[in-house]
Amino acid sequence: MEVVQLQRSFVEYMDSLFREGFLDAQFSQLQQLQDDSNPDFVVEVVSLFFEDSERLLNDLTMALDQPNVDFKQVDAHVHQLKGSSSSVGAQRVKNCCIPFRNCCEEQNTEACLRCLQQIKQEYLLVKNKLQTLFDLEQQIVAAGGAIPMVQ
Amino acid sequence: MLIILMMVALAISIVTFVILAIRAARREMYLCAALIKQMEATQQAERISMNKTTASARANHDVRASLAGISGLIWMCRLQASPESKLVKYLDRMESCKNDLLDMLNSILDQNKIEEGKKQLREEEFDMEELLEHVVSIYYTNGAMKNVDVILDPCDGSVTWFSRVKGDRIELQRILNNLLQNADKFTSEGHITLRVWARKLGFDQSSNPVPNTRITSIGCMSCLRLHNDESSAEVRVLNTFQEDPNCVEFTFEVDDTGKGIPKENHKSVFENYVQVNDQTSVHGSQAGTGLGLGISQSLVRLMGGEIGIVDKGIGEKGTCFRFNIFLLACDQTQAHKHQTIRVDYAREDDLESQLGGGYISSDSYYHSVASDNSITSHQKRENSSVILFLREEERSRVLRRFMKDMIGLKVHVVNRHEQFSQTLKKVKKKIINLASYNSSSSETSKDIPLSALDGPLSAFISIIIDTGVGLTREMSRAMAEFRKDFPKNVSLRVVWLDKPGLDEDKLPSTDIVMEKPLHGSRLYHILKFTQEIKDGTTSRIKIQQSPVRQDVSVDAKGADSSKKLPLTGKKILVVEDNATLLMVCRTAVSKLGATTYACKNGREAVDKVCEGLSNRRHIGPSTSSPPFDYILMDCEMSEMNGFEATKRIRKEEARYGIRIPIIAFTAHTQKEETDKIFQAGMDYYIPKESKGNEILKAIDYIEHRRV
Repeated sequence: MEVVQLQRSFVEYMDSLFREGFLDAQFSQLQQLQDDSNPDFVVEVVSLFFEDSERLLNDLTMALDQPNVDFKQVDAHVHQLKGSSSSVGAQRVKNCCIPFRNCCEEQNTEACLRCLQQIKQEYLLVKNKLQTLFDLEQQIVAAGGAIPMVQ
Repeated sequence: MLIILMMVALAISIVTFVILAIRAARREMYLCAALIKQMEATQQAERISMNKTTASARANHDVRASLAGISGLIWMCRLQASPESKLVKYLDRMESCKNDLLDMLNSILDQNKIEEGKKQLREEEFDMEELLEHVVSIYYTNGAMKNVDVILDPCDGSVTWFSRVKGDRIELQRILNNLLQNADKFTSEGHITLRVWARKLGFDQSSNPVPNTRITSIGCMSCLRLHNDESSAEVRVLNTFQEDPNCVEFTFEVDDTGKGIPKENHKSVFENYVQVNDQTSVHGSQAGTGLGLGISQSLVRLMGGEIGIVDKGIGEKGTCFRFNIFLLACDQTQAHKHQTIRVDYAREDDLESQLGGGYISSDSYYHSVASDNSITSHQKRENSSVILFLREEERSRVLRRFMKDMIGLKVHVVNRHEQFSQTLKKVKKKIINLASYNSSSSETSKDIPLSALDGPLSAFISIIIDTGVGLTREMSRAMAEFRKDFPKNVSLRVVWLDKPGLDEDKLPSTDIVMEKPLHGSRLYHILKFTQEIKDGTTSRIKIQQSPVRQDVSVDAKGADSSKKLPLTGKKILVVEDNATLLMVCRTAVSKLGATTYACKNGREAVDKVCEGLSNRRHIGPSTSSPPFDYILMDCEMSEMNGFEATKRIRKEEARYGIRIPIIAFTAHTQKEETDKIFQAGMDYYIPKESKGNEILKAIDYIEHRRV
């Protein structure tokens, strides 16, 4: 009984993530890269993404805290963040990076701080969502079920 | 005297007439006034409802923002909590409560969006058969636990012809989920059937799915006339859509044997927030918002169709929902092997009477596609039989009807164990007669054993057994007897559904073990055997679910099992400083069959290439193969970017007369950036987050340019 409810929750949850724009097609492509020879690929990549992103967000906070902000450095960090988020399909995080880079060009510290705040929020949201998703996956496997393929 | 009488009579009649007229006029005025008041009241109610919708949408939005806040706070609490403490468990539960709230809000928000007319349907290509199989499989496992069979009925097989369509897959799945979920909720025994059939609209057919329920104007009600125009405009727009030659109408039926819905509620169940009283429902705890059918109805109407409840026959219990939608058919040539199933329309005249409900019309379209029924293949099908021994009665009935009426096979359905051996004996006797009749040698001497009789394949026999019926010793004996001395010019295929108790290694190699449910792609796979000649040895094919994903993977031990991957044997160097991107790229490339090497920046890459080049030189002058077949290079890196690295690599390569193709990863596609790429000496560029497909395309382009 549990397994099926879990599977249904999983499918609906995944659907909602795509629908609300948290994930995009790149995430689906990630899932397609996972197979029997590489069974934990998605979890591994996403964990790497979390590590990378948290480090970058810390670096960004520190860089913007300096009296003389090195905007080139800030831009480089945002560029990295944009790359990794777009690679895993974290659409909303990626979308926040674009205005952020504009603010860097204009060398506007205030605006950059605002952007940083927003990115942090979006990152928290998507991290949370993905962790919930993986938890569901684990629960399904633990209960002996198979993970439904969602497209 | 008489004149006075006459005048009095006249006066009386005139007065009566006037009184009656006045009364009629007064009544009419009263009715008009009442009507106007009623109209105003309705309009006001509608306005209020719209206002409520807008307001609640706004409120929903605010609530979602707060929920997002809670989400972030829970995350931060987690950071502070020790992993094994009770606090984490409480946080988990808070999280799931929050998710529930979010889901409920989402369904309300969606319904509001639809009501406000703001919902837009996506248009993407998808595969209808795959969607159906996917959805039914989920509910099949659900139903299996309470002994309710969930059946996907292919009806006349028309969905196969229009499987690739363009439309909103997610919303269609939502509708199907809603109906199947309801059926599942209210059915505790029996079966749930999903029937689907498709019909291409001809130019002369004008379906009018939107019921025009507005009343025509009465006297001075001009506002009504306006409404009438609007709805007829709607119908006209839909009709132009339907006139598109690629428009296909799909009709779906979800039929269950559950509690049923009383006739008086047939219209009201679609009204939002109405729930049929489910005190006796199976999953007592499943309280829905009561919005599902309302949303489904709105979505169906958005897709140009209508949904309703179909009356069942007397004595049949349960509910049957039917809805139709219109989608655009895409290029069907990409669709899969199912299309080798040629539906036998020679038996069409029987169809109308046997199928009931009249779901197909003999469109000339079908004839032209399914026309190569040569006499020999027809005969083969005439002689072919399928023996079906399943646990579920309704499923047997559905499969039998499909195979007999649509494909033209003879189907023997076995309902009880005793029937099994009898049926086997009967079928064997028949094919032995056939085999000896069709053998090429004109005189069959009694000394030649039947199994040695040669000749073209004249018939196919398929036996489908559900191991859930309980394999008895009599059955095994009957099977062994059946297989003994089986004529060579008849092909036998045995399909076992589910594995318990089956010793797979002892089965002959032509047997198939398949998982339930038997529908969709698995069904077509079996039916293919009755339509094609398989000569030579075919290895045992296992159709199973891999433990991680529900894929149908064919694991054939034997010839042509290894598909050559596009980049097998190639060596590819990936240069990227972002760890996530690097991992994704390497996996994508490895999956295509290549061996990957990685570098974190330009300097490392240059070093590696130089090393590789000088190593080659030591091996021997005759080897001109480069250290790598391709290099995937990120443009912006710390410590030496892609442009600089490429320039240096090209300089070094010139010394050996080698040029390794370099493909740039870039986030910018403006001209100045792409100019920089080609000026540095790179050969092609792809977006940063590219995975398999784009990389292959780039490599393809380079190879073709070389030639």
